[in-house]
Amino acid sequence: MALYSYSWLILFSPLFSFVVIVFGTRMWDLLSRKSVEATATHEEKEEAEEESDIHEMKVQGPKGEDQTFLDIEDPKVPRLTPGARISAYLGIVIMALACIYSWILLLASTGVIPGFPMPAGGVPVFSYNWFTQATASYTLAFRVDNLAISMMVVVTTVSLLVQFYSQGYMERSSGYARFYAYLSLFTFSMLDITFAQNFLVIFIGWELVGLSSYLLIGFWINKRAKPDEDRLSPASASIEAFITTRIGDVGFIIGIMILFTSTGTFDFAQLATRVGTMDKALLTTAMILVFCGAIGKSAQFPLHVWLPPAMEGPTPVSALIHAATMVAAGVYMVARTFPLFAAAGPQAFEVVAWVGAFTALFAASIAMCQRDFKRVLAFSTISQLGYMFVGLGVAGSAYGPGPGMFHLFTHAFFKALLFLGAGSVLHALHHATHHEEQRMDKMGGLAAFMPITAITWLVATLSIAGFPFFAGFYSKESLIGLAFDSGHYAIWAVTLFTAGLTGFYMLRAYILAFGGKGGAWGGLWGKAELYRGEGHPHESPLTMTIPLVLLAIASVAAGYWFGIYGYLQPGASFDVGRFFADYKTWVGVVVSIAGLGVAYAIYARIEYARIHEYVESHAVLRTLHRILLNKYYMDTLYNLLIKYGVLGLSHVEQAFDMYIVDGLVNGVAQVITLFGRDLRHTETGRVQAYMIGFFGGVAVLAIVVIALVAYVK
Amino acid sequence: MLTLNHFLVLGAVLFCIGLYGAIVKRNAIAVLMGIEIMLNAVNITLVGFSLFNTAKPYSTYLTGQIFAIFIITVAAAEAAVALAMVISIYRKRSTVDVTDFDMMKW
Amino acid sequence: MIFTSDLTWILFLPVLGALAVLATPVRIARWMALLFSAATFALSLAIFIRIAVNGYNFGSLANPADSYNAPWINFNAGSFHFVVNYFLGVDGLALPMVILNALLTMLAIIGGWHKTRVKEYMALILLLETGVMGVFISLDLFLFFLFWEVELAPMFLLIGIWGNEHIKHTVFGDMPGRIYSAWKFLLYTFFGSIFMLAGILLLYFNEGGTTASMQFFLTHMPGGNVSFLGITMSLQLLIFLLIYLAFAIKIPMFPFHTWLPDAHTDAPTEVSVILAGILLKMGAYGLIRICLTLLPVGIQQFSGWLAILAVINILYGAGICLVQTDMKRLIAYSSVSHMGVVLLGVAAAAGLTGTAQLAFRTAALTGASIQMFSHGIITGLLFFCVGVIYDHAHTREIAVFGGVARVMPVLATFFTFAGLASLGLPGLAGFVAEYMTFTASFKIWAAVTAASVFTMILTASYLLWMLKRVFYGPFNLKWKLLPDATLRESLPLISLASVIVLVGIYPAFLINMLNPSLTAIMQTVTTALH
Repeated sequence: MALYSYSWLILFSPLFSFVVIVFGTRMWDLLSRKSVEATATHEEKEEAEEESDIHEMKVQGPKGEDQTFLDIEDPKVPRLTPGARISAYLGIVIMALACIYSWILLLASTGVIPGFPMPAGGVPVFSYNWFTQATASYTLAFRVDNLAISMMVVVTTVSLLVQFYSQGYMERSSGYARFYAYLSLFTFSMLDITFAQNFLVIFIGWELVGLSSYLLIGFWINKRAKPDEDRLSPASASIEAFITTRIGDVGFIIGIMILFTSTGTFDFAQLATRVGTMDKALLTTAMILVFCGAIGKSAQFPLHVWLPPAMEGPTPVSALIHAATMVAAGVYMVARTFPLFAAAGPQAFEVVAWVGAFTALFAASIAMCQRDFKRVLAFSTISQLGYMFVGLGVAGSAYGPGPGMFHLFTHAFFKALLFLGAGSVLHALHHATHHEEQRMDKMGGLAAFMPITAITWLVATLSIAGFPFFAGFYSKESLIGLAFDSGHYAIWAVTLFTAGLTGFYMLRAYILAFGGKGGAWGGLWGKAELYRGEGHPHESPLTMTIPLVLLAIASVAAGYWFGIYGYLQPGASFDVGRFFADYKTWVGVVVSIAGLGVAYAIYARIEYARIHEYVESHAVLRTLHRILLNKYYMDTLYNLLIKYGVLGLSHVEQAFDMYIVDGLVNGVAQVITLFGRDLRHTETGRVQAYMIGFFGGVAVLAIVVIALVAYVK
Repeated sequence: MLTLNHFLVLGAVLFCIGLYGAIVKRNAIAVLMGIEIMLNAVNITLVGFSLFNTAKPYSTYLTGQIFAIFIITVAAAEAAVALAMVISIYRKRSTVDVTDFDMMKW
Repeated sequence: MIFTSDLTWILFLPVLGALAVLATPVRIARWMALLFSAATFALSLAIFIRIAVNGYNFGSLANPADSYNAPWINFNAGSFHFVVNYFLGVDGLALPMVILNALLTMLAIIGGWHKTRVKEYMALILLLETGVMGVFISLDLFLFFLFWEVELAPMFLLIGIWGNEHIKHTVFGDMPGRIYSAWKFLLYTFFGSIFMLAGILLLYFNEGGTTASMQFFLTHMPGGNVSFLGITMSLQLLIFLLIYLAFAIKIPMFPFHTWLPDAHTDAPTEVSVILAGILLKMGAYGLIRICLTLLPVGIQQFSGWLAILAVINILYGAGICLVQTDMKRLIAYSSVSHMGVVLLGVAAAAGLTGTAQLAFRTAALTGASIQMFSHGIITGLLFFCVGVIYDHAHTREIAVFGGVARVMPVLATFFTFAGLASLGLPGLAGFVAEYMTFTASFKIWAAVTAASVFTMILTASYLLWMLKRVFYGPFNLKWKLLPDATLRESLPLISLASVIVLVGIYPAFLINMLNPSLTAIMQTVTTALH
């Protein structure tokens, strides 16, 4: 028990790092920066300046005047201060401790370390009451149970590796300490969701995750937008992420309000016992609304639009967002509220499954045509998250949250690997070309320069594609099979087809970046001549490759935790024998390999330029390509909606205020002013006129008084 | 036989004459004279009331006459101030026509 | 002696301060102002601490934790009595407002350190503090009304003299913005005051006309109906409507809100801070203290409309923010939106008869009261931030900036912090209030609350969008010499930011402070409605 009840240490340790960095080491960093920079050598200074990638741009101002803007892509300092370095070490060490503790918890709760059985219902670790009166209570309560531990392990591990990796990726960044502070905050927010015992806490974590992503996506504050590459500025991308997820949050909080006002509690366990008395239709509505929150945070259709622009943040952040924090929050929340979904009508799970299945297909189709290296991964994440929701939606009470969480668990590792590998590539290209380069048109054959990155990336590609015996194979094929077994044949078909697409787009991205026609292994392993960009890239430093190797191991090994079904839901189990004997598993494998094969046949056997030419010359393909490249024009649609719908309404309100409300008020004042302007002419300034008025008045009054005295009495 | 009505009628007539003068005369001096006439008309009325006051005790007999004396005093002060103003205006604007004195209009 | 009560001192220390400021040369006067405002703040904290260590029971209107009552005016003519008592008291509802007032005034004095005609400026700010303080601690209706009016004069002068010269309102010729806005503020408030006075007199004479003590009306609520021009309504509703009009204008409630953006745009920074931070709260405070507590039947009959007006306030204010081009105007409209949350909470508290939903109604009222406090500190911080940027750049036009976080990192940090607090980020003050109000009000006014939750999106949009256009994105080289916030300018920012975090992560101290007072109010309401 004590082992579990001290796990608040895990929860608050990243917050501690955040506070110490923000108020301590970052201050130190900023104050000592001048003196440290003075000690830097001339070369270091020159290099920092070159890599900061600063240029001026001329822009027309709002009144047509010429304005000069400074675009600062990635500001660097010549030499990191001790304060900055210590910030990083602090973050890493504390996260390492938290990570170790959470692994111990996992081992203890699974029984590997004997003697610490997890009590049913979990162990409360921390609580604090805001307000309680009769049937309404607002309490911050945290609790640890199996589900939380499985998530906690993912969060702390990925977070640790990302922080370790960032030492290399963010080298000499002028915002080094700030970056580590934000990473710690991000981890804390996600852990807050993990430990949540009630909707109040999960909502707090929910919003804090939004905040952290806002800060991290917009990390490069003065960077410009790149419309030619269809990329927003980080500042805009961060807002888009925050606001789009907030749209989902509105549904989420309305769902929470329905549950709260019907039962008087936010607590998951209490809710599970009390929702039985609720009106079924109302409960179903509430749960679908709650799922809206997950749609926003986990970037499901139609709120997926924020995730691709979120690539504007530094790449380790993308890894964190896509693997462990933020997008996983939605899946985790549905897993956490699984009993409530189960208590609601079947429509609730149907919605979850269908949104997931549709999104999986939708995003995978877009991913096939993207040119931006990171954007392919972004859409692959959206697609994979769709799978997780399918897993949750079709599982039913027999399997519990196991299938969905299993995919989340394996996905976390290979997706982190994919992003960190991509980061390694971008880092190398940045060094080679001295500017940011994410277009796959400018890559190719990189395996020759960076073998470790290439091989680990290939492992992740195979894992995500569901290649047999990699982690993704188990979690994904079991989930697809489950859709069939539970009678969702349409969903099964959709997810199966998507598995093929996944193989296609992932291998396409791999070959475009690392291989090409004429390379070794039939084009899978590139040659230096295949590189289409400038300069000469190099393999990344050890700080970056070590996490890659570790994650590559995890991308295989994570799939072998078959006990996760039973771990999350007593009674459920993953039957390995049946899994291998099931023909559907192998149908899935065939489809995946077909996808991989098509990608291989096209991209490894034909030159990139020729493929492009062919697509452009073919009318149907060209149209299709354009639609997919433009992401079905969803962004355009939303932009129009905001510009003419929302802002139009605001302009109407503004006009109402100005002309109706103020018009009325000012109109009254004006009328009175006008009256006064005319009436003042009675004031002639001549004393005799006043005299007439005065005595005339007296006379009139006298007559009135006399009349009154004479007649009224 | 002299009755109160005689005093009152005289006062009223005088008052109206004064008022008429004050309103229609354009010369500021004449206007002031009109005002003096009005004041004296009131004085006559007050004295008349005083004379025909039959109430006891004696101390109240003279109230009207004392008022009249006050009015005479105030009228003298008023006349002095008003004339000073008229002269001062005359120096500035070379006229004593009251219809020209509209500096204080709206 | 009235001077034995600390409430007297908290009320009149600023007046002494104003006199001291006027009597001393400029160099000392500033420090005098700071000294007296700090003393007032310290005294308000001392009251808080004294009660907090004595069992943390801040009491209620019937039984305030600290009060002082002395006869002041007692005019009798036959059966006509005009009785005004010098009756001061603080309970859990008033004390947070008192502390907020003292704090913001002190910070406003620090912020306005280098104003022109600084002596008069400081003196007026201190007089304003007294006026507002009086509103919060008066427990006599006439005294309340007196202070309600007293506060107007300094505010009128502060906007009218130190306000913005450049903006012209073409409606009335070449009137400078400051004059227009000062008049608009004054006339709007006066317009409401007339009705409030009528309402108070009606209440006073209807209940015997022997005392105007609020405690008295707790047990003597007007009943029966009145008929006027063929319209019959309950007497309480009539009195409520009369009194509420003044509060509605002050809050400000749609459609009486347009004075606020104008006043904010033209007022100097520190005055905006006080205006948004405290003056708006007078309306909300009055709504809870007088309308809800003393006239529960009246407000209950109106509560449906109140809820609808609240949601209009919330959404309309937020929507209009999106198209503002001036930072201050944007924040002013955001105040309209945020004060709507207070209205919603009160509407929920007044909403239903019966005891079934009592817990939710109390929670909604608690949320509304916290919103009063947290909006005060958050908007204060926002206005201080705008003030810094205006003092340095001499413009508040959003479009002319771009990426200035590069040269103003400190200010950008605080401004972003304030923006995030305002959009209701957990861990900061706004979240506690809005979360409680929304979740609890949903029980009473489901549809209305569900609609108003959409403000979450709008608030985030306009604040973050404004921050982005000013601070983030490519850096406009026009501003390369823009200096960052100085230490003096950062002082208010730091102190307010810490209070925001404190309330955000430990709201219990505030909630427990409010609790006895609000529970008592809800009890009165429930009993009255039965």
